[in-house]
Order: sequence, then C-alpha cells, then structure tokens
Amino acid sequence: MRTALLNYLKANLTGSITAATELPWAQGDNELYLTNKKRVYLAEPDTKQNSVIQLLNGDDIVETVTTVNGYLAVDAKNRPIDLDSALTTLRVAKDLSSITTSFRKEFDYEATIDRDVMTYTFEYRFYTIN
Amino acid sequence: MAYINASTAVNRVKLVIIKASALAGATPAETDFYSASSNTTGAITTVANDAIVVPGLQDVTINNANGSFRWKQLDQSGENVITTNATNSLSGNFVLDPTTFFGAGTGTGAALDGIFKLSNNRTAVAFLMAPEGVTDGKRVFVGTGFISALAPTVSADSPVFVSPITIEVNGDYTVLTTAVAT
Repeated sequence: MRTALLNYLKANLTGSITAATELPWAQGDNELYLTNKKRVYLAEPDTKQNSVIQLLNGDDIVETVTTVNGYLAVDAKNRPIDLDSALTTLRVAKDLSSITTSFRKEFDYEATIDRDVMTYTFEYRFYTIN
Repeated sequence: MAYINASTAVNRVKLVIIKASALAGATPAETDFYSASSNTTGAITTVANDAIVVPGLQDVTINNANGSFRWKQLDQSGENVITTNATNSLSGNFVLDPTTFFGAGTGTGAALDGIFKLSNNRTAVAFLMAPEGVTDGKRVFVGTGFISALAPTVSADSPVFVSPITIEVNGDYTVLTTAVAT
C-alpha cells in the first residue's frame, strides 16, 4: 500500500511540496524530513490483526489494519502557499481506486510547531478482511 | 469436575446436515452423516449422503423446552405439575460460506441444494450436532427437522454476512455415541 500511495503522491504533489521515495530514516538526532523540508516521507506499513468474528472451528474472521505513517515538515514562519492543496492531496490519496481490498479507509494528521518548524504527522489506515 | 470441552482442534463443535429422505433407517445414525473421521485431527474426512458440515459456526444452542401442565388441589399448599411435550430446536449463528449456503457440487443431497434452498423449499433435514467433536466415544445429538430463521445480515462495520439459523426439531433428540473415527 505504501507503493500505491507513494506513486499517487509523486504524481500529484507537483508544487513546492513533493514526495520523497526514501523512508523517513534519521541520522543521529536529525530526522530526514526535518532536514529536507517540504518533502513528504512515507514510512513502511505496519500491520495489526484483530479477530472480528470468532468461530467455533477456530478459523476466526480476521480484520487486518495496515497503517502507513507519513511526515512533512515546513517552515512555520513562511507557510508554503501550496500547503493547503498538498494536504488535500494527502487526504484524497486514501481513496485511491488502486487499493481495492479495503472496506474502510481512514486518514488523519496532526500539526505540531517546534521553534520555526511545523511538522505534519499523518497516518493512513486501511482495513481489510481475511 | 469434567466438562464438555470444545476448545481444541480435535474437539471442535460440528453440525452436519443431510436431507431426511437420505436416511437409511427410521432414525438417524452416525453413518448417515459421514463414513470416516479422524481421531487424530477430529476432522470429518468423508461425508455421506452429500452432507453439509456447516462451516463458520459462531455459537450453538440446544433447546429442549418441556411444556408443563399445572393444577392446584385444595389439600395441598403447592401446585402440582407434570411436563408435557417438549419444543425442541437447535439454534445458532454462522458466517455465510457461499458453497454451503447456495449449494455446490455434483451430489444429489443437501450439499447440492445448500442451506438456503433447504430452508426455502422447507425440505425435511436430519442433523448431527457434536458438542465436542466426532472422535470415538463422543456423544452427539441427532434428529430430524426443518431449517428456519435464516436472516443473513451485513453492515458497513462488519462487512461479512452472518445469519442466525434454527433447526426446528421434529420429535425428540436422540443421543448417540460415535464409533466411526479411526
């Protein structure tokens, strides 16, 4: 799912804010997304399974939640003019038609300001039934 | 205290349904439902009479509700009671499996028709309900009746069809001891 999201973001974030193909790794205390502002970074997906219907034969119906976290840092003093449209693109990405297996798709983000850097930490959640 | 343990793979609850017309005798026998099962895995390995082994069972309730007739006598302070005919039924909930719900295969029995058609056509069925599996020496309930109370439901929060199912039992339950497994 990270690949599908990344392909969409690379194709649709064409202003001053773009998508990076690298993972949001850190060198020492320096997060890559803080070093390279106005670049969207997507982490590797996390997967969690919940038993939604328990069966007597032990073959429970399982819901798999795949979570993809992302990061975007921008200058808090000079807000990029295309930030709102970039956030819209990030939100619309969850409805990608190429992600067909999910019955529920969720996206949310929170913004935090630390000195002159505003960091958006966002999360995609895709629910599938196995 | 011993208890009926349905928690292990070998002792899973099983509900097997065939058409009542396929019964060899007047009352159901274990071999009407399957001809082979495994003492090692607990699985029914060969079904008989195109039986349906109902998959995806969530819960099962064995209802045996005796009726009662009460009367009062002037010489007694408490009521007298006798029991009358029982209302027997087997109820539960299950996840719909398209193969067993709509029917499939090349047989001529229950598995070909599927659970929905057996209910919709009000076909008389025979059932075997194994509370702790079908390995040798286990007690199972058998009987005949009719499938009813199907109500498949799905919702956005739970996008898997589930349905209640009731087998309205015709007459009494019979309790058998299994002996087919090897």
